Amino acid sequence: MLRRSAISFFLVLVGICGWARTRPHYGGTLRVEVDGDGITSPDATLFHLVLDGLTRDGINGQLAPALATDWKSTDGDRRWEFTLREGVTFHNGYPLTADRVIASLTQDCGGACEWSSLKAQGSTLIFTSDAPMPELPWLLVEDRFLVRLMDTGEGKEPPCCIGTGPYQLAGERSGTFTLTANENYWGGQPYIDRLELVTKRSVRDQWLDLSVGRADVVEVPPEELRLAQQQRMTVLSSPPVDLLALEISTDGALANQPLRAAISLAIDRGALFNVIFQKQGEITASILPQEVSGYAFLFPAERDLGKAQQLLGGVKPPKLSLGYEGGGSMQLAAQRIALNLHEAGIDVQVTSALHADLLLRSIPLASADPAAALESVLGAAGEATPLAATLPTAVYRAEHDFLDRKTLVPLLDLPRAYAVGARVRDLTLGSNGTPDLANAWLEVTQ
Amino acid sequence: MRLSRLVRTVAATLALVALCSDAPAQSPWQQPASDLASQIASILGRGTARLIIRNLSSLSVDEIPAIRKLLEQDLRALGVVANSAPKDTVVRVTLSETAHGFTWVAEVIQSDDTQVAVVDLPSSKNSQTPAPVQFMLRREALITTREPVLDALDLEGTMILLAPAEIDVETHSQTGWIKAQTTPNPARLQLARDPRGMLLPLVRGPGFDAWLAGLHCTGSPAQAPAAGWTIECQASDDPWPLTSTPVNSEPAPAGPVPIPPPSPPPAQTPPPLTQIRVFYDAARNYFTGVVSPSLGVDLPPFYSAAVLERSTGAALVINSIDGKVLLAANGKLIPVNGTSDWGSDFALIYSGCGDGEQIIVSGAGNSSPGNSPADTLRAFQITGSDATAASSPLVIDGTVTALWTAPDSKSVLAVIRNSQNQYEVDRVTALCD
Repeated sequence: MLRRSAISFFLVLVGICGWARTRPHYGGTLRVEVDGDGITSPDATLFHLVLDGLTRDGINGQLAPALATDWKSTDGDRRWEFTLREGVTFHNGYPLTADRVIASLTQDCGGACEWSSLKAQGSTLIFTSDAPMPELPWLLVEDRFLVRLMDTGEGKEPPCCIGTGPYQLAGERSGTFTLTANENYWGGQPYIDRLELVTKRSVRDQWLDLSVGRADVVEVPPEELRLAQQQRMTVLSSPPVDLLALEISTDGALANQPLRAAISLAIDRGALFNVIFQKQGEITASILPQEVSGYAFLFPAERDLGKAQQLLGGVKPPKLSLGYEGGGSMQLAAQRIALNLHEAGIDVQVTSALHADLLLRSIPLASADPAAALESVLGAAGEATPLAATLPTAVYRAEHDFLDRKTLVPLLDLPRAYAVGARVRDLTLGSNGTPDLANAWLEVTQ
Repeated sequence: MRLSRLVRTVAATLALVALCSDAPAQSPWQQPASDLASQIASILGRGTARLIIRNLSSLSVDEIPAIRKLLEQDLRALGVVANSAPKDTVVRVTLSETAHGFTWVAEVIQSDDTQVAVVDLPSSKNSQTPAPVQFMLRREALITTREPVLDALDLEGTMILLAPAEIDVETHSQTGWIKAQTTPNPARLQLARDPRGMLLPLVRGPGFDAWLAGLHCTGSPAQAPAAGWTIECQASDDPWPLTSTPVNSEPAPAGPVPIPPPSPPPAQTPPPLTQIRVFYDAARNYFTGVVSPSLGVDLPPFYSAAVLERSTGAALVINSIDGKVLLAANGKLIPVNGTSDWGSDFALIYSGCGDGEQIIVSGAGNSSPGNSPADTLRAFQITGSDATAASSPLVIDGTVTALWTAPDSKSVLAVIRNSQNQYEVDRVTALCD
């Protein structure tokens, strides 16, 4: 497992090699194509280019400053002070102020913030809460806390995506976003002058565009990684950053915990891994990957059909519905799970509806920090209570106790991957699998 | 800071102290073993337990007896007698690993009940040093830091480090370099993403000149030694000097200036370099191509340049941003042959070997997926418009991020981002056959 991760890690680090080392060139237009809308998480490519957070994932998964230059906590992590970076402006020239950050963050969490109060004191943001918030700097890395301009002072909400990021939105036409380099970016002007982000493009069309030079960066779903390598595409692959999991409702017959446990035991993760996802990623029964927690092996992932049938006690449950997010491989995976459950004596109808008894989801692991990542996944699964402590043993217990309820069944940890064109240089993937386009550059065409 | 990170930091510090101390060697596993034993004992209370250890990490099996011994000792001190093989109480310790370090997991199994204790500790597996190399070029590590370094200057017991956001003064002690003073650069946001900077010693007295994008700084030691260094910076678009030796701050003469032919350099003695200055584009990572005094030929933007002293006058070698290596001499600009594997950075060195002067050039090594980036440094001689390799490639464990001629002109200073993402300043010298 570690060896495979190490290979992925090096693939990410190395990027594309094989030419004399040269300093990055400025200029050019890069075309990126994605299947999603570019805005909705986890593939919020547009937001990652246009917006910054107070903190960010740094090298080797370490926490790094972004719009905040430093932070400190007092009162047992109940009070946090974040100092804003000086001299930063939004893309429309408005200065970044503590009040504007507060407006954005407050809107982002929609009244369900992790903190009870957020105030400005000069260029310092002060978060306070009745409960300890040891993970706050890590939580602020998440996409939902990216900072955008909420008010231009004209009493109306500004158009989408005025941020402080390395690129600014110049226009949108038929799902293609045009972005230009932010010359005043606090982290240094990006090398590539112009990006075209083509959204809602099928993977098949993306690959075709890459092959004829109409695209520079395209997506490679995990199940297509092997095919991409066979086709000698240059592929960047991340460590596992998405958790494929089955969410189980607690309504109706599923209020019965043994039934949920039986569903959990009846699923054949090996078949999903080998057949549907072409042996990419890792089989898992834990929320946090082994590379993050170090204790994933404690959660057995083997199928136990006999025990599942034993838990059902000979009683046939009512027919359940199984929905899935996305399409293609997710639909195939849902059908495979339905087959597994049928073998255990549980009838399941696969549906494209998201409101179902069972829902197959891909949940991004938003952080390389175990406690923050767990809190993020639990939040995505409807468990918004912050962890009481972040010591390794406490994180394990929180994960164990949550999984014991059998409302979320982890199945696979999946990587993210992209194929890149020949003229793209120094493109790497962040620890969350997002391409770092601001540090990429284009080879000059001779 | 999160408590778990604090624990990791403490564990890392203890491990490092244990590894580096001259005192009787303390095992790096002592602290984590103690922590884990404490958690196990709090679950188990006093009694006996069978201790099983398995290794799922990259730790050598040779380490396991020492870890077992430590755990047994610590458990015994807490009232738990291990390894007495009772059937109903088992402590299974798994030596596991994450992407960031080792993790030890104890499963305390009592009848049907299993409780778990976990401790994190940093991995020392990345502390390997690169294999020694035997080439004509020799590297000597001067200093290693976690923060990016643009240039360094060794001023007899004081090391000046130029970083994108600050200038550090390091003093030498018995244990190595210690940061004595940090002076933040005036806040500037419009930096190139790949910033560059250079340091030169002052013409008179101890001190330095520093050039950064849009900024010029000077530093000198205060009269009272305890007062540290006085460092002053001001916004400046003045051109940067193309030399490794001290320069006068006086502006260069305007207009084309004929450059007198220098005397042939005696072996081992660097000749006085012609003081050519070049304008740096503050929003990019390159020089604009405008030089002062003018060489009588238009230059394209370039990353690196070196002044070669020739019998017909000074010649300027540049590496243009489109990857071409060009020679500006006698009012002409001609390509240099034999430079297809040159990277963007090079620096002149007066080694005394061969023709006396060589250019040390960075290049890409044997990097491929599955290997860490490994740049190379190699010496070249330029005869006419032909570059010929004068040394074998010196393989670097990392990426060369800056290359400047050292003040003594007999060596170059290379800044290397190594595989541990640390920045290492190396002095590179050429050894004559």
